[in-house]
Order: sequence, then C-alpha cells, then structure tokens
Amino acid sequence: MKKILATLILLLVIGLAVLTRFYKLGEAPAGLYVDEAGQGYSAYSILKTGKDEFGKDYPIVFRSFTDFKTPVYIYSIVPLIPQFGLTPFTVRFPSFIFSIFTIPILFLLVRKLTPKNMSLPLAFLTTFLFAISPWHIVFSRTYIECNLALFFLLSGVYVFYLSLQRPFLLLIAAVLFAIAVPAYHAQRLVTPLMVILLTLKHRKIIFSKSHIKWAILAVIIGIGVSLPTLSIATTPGFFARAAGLNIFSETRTPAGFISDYHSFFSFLVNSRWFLSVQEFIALYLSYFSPRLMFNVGDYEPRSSFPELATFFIWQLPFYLAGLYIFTKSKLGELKFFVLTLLLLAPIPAAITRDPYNTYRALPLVIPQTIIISLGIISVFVWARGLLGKLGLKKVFLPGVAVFSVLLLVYSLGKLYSSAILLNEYFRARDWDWGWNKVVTTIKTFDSNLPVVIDNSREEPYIELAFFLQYDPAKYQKENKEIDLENYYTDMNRKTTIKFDNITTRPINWEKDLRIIQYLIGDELAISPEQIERHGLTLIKELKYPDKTVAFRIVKTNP
Amino acid sequence: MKKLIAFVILAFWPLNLFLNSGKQSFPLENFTKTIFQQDYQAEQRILEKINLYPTVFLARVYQNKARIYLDKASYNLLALTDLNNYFFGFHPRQIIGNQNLKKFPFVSIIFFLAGLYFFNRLKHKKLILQIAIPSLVYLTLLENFDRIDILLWLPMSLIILGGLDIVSRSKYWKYTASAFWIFTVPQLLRIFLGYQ
Repeated sequence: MKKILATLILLLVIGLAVLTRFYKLGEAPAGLYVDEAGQGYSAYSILKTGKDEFGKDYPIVFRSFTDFKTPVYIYSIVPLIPQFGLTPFTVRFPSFIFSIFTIPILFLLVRKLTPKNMSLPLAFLTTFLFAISPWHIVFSRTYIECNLALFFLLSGVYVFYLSLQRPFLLLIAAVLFAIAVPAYHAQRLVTPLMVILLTLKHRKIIFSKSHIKWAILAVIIGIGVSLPTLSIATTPGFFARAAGLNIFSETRTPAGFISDYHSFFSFLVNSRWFLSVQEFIALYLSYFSPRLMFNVGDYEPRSSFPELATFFIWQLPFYLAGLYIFTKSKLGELKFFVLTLLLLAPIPAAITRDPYNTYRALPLVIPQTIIISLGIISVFVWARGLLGKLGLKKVFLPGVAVFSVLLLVYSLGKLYSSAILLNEYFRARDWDWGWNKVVTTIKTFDSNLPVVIDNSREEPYIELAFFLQYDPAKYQKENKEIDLENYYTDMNRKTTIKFDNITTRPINWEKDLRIIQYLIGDELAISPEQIERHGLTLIKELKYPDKTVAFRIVKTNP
Repeated sequence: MKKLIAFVILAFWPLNLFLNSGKQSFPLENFTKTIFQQDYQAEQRILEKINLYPTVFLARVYQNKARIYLDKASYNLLALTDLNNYFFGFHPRQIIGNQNLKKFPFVSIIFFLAGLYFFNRLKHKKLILQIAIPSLVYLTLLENFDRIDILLWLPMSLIILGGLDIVSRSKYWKYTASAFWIFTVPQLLRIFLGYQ
C-alpha cells in the first residue's frame, strides 16, 4: 500500500513536471535561437548524409560557429527528426525528455542517501520543488545541453551508490559518467572531480576484494567510451569555449584592471594573479548569493524568464532555515553528496567571465533545492510543535494543505506569467524570432531573382538552412569552409553563404542597387531613410510581439 | 599581528568611502527618500504588462502597484545582506546608481563566515543585533541606500572581529594571516591611489 501511494505521488510530481515543461514546447520561447538552429541543422545533416554541414563524418565536437558544440545533444536530436520533422519542437524535445527522466533519478538518489526517518518526505519534496523550479524549467524548454549532462551525472552518481552493494553496476556508472563528460563543457571538470571524490569517500569498498576487479573494468570502459573525446583533447576545437571565456586567460584583461595607471606599484595594483583570484572568488560566491538566487537571477535573457529569478522568492526563508539545519544536523551520506555538488558545481561557471551564469552551474540546482526542502521540513516540524503547544494541532494539517495549494497555484501562475506571457513579449528578439516567417515570405518570391540577407550583426545562414530544410549534401558542396583534416584546428570562418539564389552577406549599398533583387535585413540594416533614399519597394515589415521592427524585406528598383 | 589586521579591517570601509566617493555629490534627500515615493516609470511598466494577460484577475495578481514597493524592498534587503556587497563591491552584478564600494578586504570574508557560524559565542551579539536590525529596516526602505549603509559598518565589523578572534586561535592562523596580507596590500594600495 505504501509503495503504491509513493508511486502515485511520484507520478503526480512527474505529471507536474511535464505540465510545466511540455506546455507550448517549441512555441515558447517563440523563435529559434541561432545555436538551436545550428544544433538542429547539424542533426539534420547527420541524418541525411552521415556528416555535419561542413562535411565531417560523425564529429566528436561540432564545429558550428567555431564554438565546437558538444555532441551528445545533437546526436540525440537525430532519431527525432523522422518522427517530428525539423522543427523547433524537435530541437527542444531532448532537453524536455531528459529533464523528465531526471525526476525519478533525483527521487531515488535522495531517498537512498537520506537517513530513513526523513528519506521519503525529503525525496518527495525535493522532486516536487524540482518539478516547478524556474531554474530547471528554463533549460528544459530549450536547447541547453547542460540539462542532458545533469541527467547523466545524477544517474552516474545514483548507480555508483547502488554499486557499493552490487559491484557489477560500476560498469554502468562508468558509462554514464563517460557520457556526462562530453555532454556539456562544464562537465569536463565537474564529473571527473565528482568521480574522484566519490571514489575517495568509499575507497575501502571500491578497493576491496569484491569490487576491485569491477572498478578496474569500469575505468577501462570509461576510458574506452571517452576515447573519441580524448582523441581531440589537445586541439583548439576542444578548448574553444574554455579559451574564449576563461578569466585566467592571458589574452583577457582581468576585471578591475586600471588601464590609466602605469606607475611604480603597477606590478601589485594591476597584477593578474591578484585580480584574477579576486574575480574568481567573487564569481564563485555569487552562486550562493540569495540576492541573485531569489531576486535578480541570471542577467542573460535566454537563461531566465522576466520577473523570475532562479528560485521563487517564497523559498528564501526555507533556504536559510535549510542552511542552518544542514550545517547543524548529521545527515550521513546526503551531507557529503550535497556539500560536494554545492562546492563543485559553481567552479566551471566561476572560471568564466559571465556573471551568475546559471546554465554553466546547473548542477547547483540539485543541492540548493535539497537544502530548501530540508528547510521546509524543519519549519513544518517546528510549526507543528508550536501549534501543538498552543492547542491548535487540529487546524495545523488542513492549514498547511490549504497554504501549500495556494502557494502551488501562485507559483504555477507566476511561471505562466513570466515564461509564456512576458517572455514572448519582451524577449522575442533575444530568441531570434521571425526567421520562419522570413523563409515563408522568401518562398513566395520569384525564384529567378537573387535574395541578399544582411549578416552584419547575426548568423542568419543557419536559420535559413534550418527553415528551408536545405539539402545538406548541396550545402556541403556549395559552402565549403575548411579542409576536413583541419576541422578541429582551423578557426577561420566563411562569411558569405549561398542557398541557390539566396546569399547571406552584408548589403552593399552601391552594387546591390544596380540589379533587381530582394534585400532582407533588420531595422538597422534597412532603415526607412534608406528605403526612401534608394527608391526601394517595401515588400514586408515583420514586427516582434512588442511591435518593434524585426525585419524589413525590400525589392530594389534599379 | 591580530591587532594590525583588525585595524586594517576596521579602517577599510571608512577609508574607501572617504578617499573614493567622498568627493562625489551626495544629495541629502537620499536619507529621507523612500521606496514609497511615486515611481511613474514603474507604474507605466506595470500598465504595459497588464495588457498581456488574458484575464483581469491574473493581471491584477501579478502586476499591481504593491509589487513596485515589495520588489524594491526585497531588492534592497537582499542587496544589503549580500556578501559580495561588502567584500567585492557587488561584483559580478554591480548595481547601477550605487558606488559599488568594496567595504572590507575580501580575505576577511573568512573571519566573517567564522563569526557568523559561531555567532552565539560572540561577545557583542546583542549589540550587533540591536544595531543591525533597525539599520537594515531603515536602509531597506530607502530609495538609494548607497553610502548610507555605513550604518552597518559597526555590526559587520564586530562579526568579522569575532571571527578573527576565533580563527586566530586555530591551526590555520598563520596561513590565513599570510593570505590576508598578500591580497589586502594591493587592495589598500588601490584605495590610496584613488581606485577600488
């Protein structure tokens, strides 16, 4: 009976997670961000030709915009395209489905690690809060690879703990960890450190007679699965993201550098080691700042919803209570796991320059949600005791039930308000809204006339490739960028891309006016003054939901 | 050594305030201008957002005037209780319209955390609470608490000094003291040279 009830509650929580993540999946956020288009088209190219758009067979990391995207997410899109077509829904679906798979894994993991007297309530509460977590939801509805990586990391940790009783499971744990590493850049640091710390904590078991041969086999399998990644580990492509964003990079001016001070104390005042260490600690601590967690949130418009931080503001007092309980209580293995992930997860994010970057630190949502759950339980126990002393025991549970339902309804409403209504209106531009409409319009044009799409500020070629569903074999032939042997090392980019009569390049306001053609650009590229000055015909003006101009489509009249 | 460190910690904030922002204009009305003053721009933003909701009820729940004051108060309170405010000048998410002053040497965060963890053992915990709580309430209700938050200098310093006392008796004292000087000397130099 207890098991049936527990399963039912878990299914309800999963249902809640599906509701918050699946509603308008593919439509909200409206638009298709350039990285999403890149992932989708790479997957489409792999499906059709076995090569990416640059002609590389099954890449280990995907060149894309020479940002070398991690492969696991892209390969997970491939089998979905025949089912759902090449659409924004298809590109976002892996993120959604793995976010749902994360819920039962999280439940099982928390239940396994928590002392028996509170394991079930804590596991349910944690997964419930996770199901409505703004932080996790924003990345479950879009293309972010870190979501996938989190699933594999948590699964690896859970299976590791199971393997302490069943040693053969170490092989499965090794595979899961080995997939987590290439799934997202930050996992290259977090996963190996996690594995090392788990092994050290349980070294007596891992190195015992019953486990050692499985452990050795697990290491061999882990290395085997990681071989493709390791084979390119010394190339510029492998380090492209880290090199570009790293605060310790020699090419980057550290925060706080005084450019107009060159006098005697410059070696101290402007010293790289001092400024970089100070910046790292500031960035690291910001991931524990209640101000950022509950009020300000992530500054990046695609990593947050308007008016919503990474956690709900009502969770703040429970977070503080949870921190107190966490530091004062004996929580066994749970304490080790939470503390380890709490301290490890912000490191990759703190090494990069972006302030409070929530997708690089996504694993942090797990320990912080557990701490909030601990806080809720402790407040519940305290309040029950207090009301009991006041003779109000009878109203306690009904009161808590009503309060919880109201809080849930308010939170769901807040998610709807921020994620659907406000996000669509205020952040359509950030999600590259409108390219599907541009392509729909282009399809009505005379196909004999050239079309020039301005690319001075954006990468429209990939949006066009995606929505045109342009033949990847043709694309590979017509738009060769580099020799394939230099795929991971050559960082040069092609600036002009062709799709039959369509070309993406900057508009040339002398040459382009001499022939009849269509010009497409944003409001900076094609202003009303230019239309008037050059005698252009305005074909269409596409506007964002907030009524500002997204694109102008004009025809020349030479 | 401990006394010298304590002196540097105590002097840091007033020194930085005097040397790096004292010369800039500071309207006296900042002491009395509260978050309850009418904010026309915020009201217009609310009206703009109301039109996006499918029902009036939903719009009123999530977009209303009370939210303007609640949001400002929670923003202020969380900024005033943010560690990065005191040790890193709010870096990485600086506040526009605020001096974003570094108030204590960042290595002294170790002493602060120790003082907070062992708060019950601190000699002046009553005094700390008696100053901190009313100051926090007052500062939370101000439109711009920049530079007026010097009111929190004493309670923060007492917590840090309490933590300093605890750490100075631990086996890590030598390393902590060394780290303190290594990172604080450049910070002090920057203050005296007119930078942060």
